[in-house]
Amino acid sequence: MIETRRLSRRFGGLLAVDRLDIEVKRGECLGFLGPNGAGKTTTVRMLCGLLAPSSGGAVVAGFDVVADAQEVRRRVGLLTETPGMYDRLSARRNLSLFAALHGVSDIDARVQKYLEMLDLWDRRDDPVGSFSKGMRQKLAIGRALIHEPPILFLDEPTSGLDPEAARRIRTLIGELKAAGRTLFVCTHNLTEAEQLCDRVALFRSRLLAVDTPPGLRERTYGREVEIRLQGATDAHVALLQALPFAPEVARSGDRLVVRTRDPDTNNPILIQTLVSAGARVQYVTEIQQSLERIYLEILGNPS
Amino acid sequence: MKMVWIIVRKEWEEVLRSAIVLFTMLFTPLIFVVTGVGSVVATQAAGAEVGNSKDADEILKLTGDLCTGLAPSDCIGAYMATLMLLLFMMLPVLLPTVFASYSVVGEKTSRTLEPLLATPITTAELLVGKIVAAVVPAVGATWLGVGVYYAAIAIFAPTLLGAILAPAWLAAVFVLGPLLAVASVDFAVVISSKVTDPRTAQQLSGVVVLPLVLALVGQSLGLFLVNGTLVGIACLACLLLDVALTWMAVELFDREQILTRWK
Repeated sequence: MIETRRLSRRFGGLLAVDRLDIEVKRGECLGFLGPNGAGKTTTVRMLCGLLAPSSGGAVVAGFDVVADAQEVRRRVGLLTETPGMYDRLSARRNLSLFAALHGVSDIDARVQKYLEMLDLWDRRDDPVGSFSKGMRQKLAIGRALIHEPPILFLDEPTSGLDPEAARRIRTLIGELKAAGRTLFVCTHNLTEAEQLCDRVALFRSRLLAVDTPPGLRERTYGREVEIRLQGATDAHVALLQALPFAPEVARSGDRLVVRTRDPDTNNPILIQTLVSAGARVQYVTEIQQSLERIYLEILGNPS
Repeated sequence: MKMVWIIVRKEWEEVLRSAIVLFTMLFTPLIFVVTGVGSVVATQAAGAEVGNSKDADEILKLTGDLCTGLAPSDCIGAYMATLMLLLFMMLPVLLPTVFASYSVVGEKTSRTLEPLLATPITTAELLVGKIVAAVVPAVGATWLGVGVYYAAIAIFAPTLLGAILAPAWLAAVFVLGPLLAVASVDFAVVISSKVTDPRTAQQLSGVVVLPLVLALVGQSLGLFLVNGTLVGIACLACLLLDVALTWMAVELFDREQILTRWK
């Protein structure tokens, strides 16, 4: 649904996006992660046919973002970083305006559908200026959805919202994903990215890494298992290091942290070896590095 | 055209809900009507004395074609009636700057332009929609104000009606007026792209009224009289100005410019 080829954008001397190559499949949710000023919004604008690339290109929903920008805009929904609603107009009028601009045939029914879905139907005739931040954000999502596009670009969908409003928005995004829409989500919220996204791309002017969250963990840290023993000693460490697949083992008190290439095969051997040597195993668990740690590791050390 | 109409409707619903814009659009023409009619009636009353004075011939000579067929006592009233029409010509310049400033700067400050630009609308349709939305009420308010002025003159000073219904003045109201309004909106769009406060945009856009103020002062001082030739030249000049300013507005009102340069 989205495919970029060395997509680049320069503003004067600043290279905001540098040769981005990425592909997002139909129905996939991609988290686009990076610090402020990384070029995420510029990328989204190029993919929505709003900004032309300086070089390279992209195809979105089968259309070139430069040659067929208008066709691209018909097929994408964009949630901008700030909701940008017409405050003096009602919620209903805000949505009907955008439905009309997208050529929706039965505007009233479509507007009602999304206002009800977003729990805003009771406030349909109130001016948007009287809405809370969370309500405005929901309405902005409704605006992005009103023409029922197959692809949605969500730029910081929960930014600045209180936890309750953010949770509601995440639930809504989860429902959109379940409904088969292709989602491109720019976010700083790594927990959110992990919860919602099939894959995450780490980006700072250029693509640093893209994979599933477990894939990124494995690429960055390998898979690690924690084995807690009653009375762990350096002898236990040496025992494991002597195994043919040569795991990396570190001990911290009674805690052994073991990193192997193929934990699914090797972990049972590790446990069996320890038990055979008389070790008393309290528990074994795979260590889940947080996406935040991976993010900081990769952005701090892009090579 | 459908997209343009959608934008026009939205603009009217959104901008006309601003108390400042609505007040300006409604009350400025009303103030002009009261001022115009009051000035003409008062001047005509004074003109009765002047018409009998030794200056009557001098006044008739100065006013040229304006007073053809009029008694000297009506001549000064006719002069004032046309001068007030010149005042009315400020309406299609002043009113659109208010509307356009709030329309464009309002979109900038509320960050509504990007979602709008992300729809299939072209920037030309968006710009035309904004121009039409600002020009139509301004020209409508001008014509309504002038209509009320004509009606009041017909009631209170019917002998002067011929002077203000002269072809030159009709051309000024119905041709030059809309041309001035377009120039005014284009100018406001250009200014609005550079500022972040509607009032600043409005004040800076107000510069466009200066040529009319000069014309008003010129006629008041007797330096010249607005006639058919002058109106024709003004229409031509305004048409050229419209083309130039519209070109500038189109250049500025571009997706790339709006998203990357407009602050």
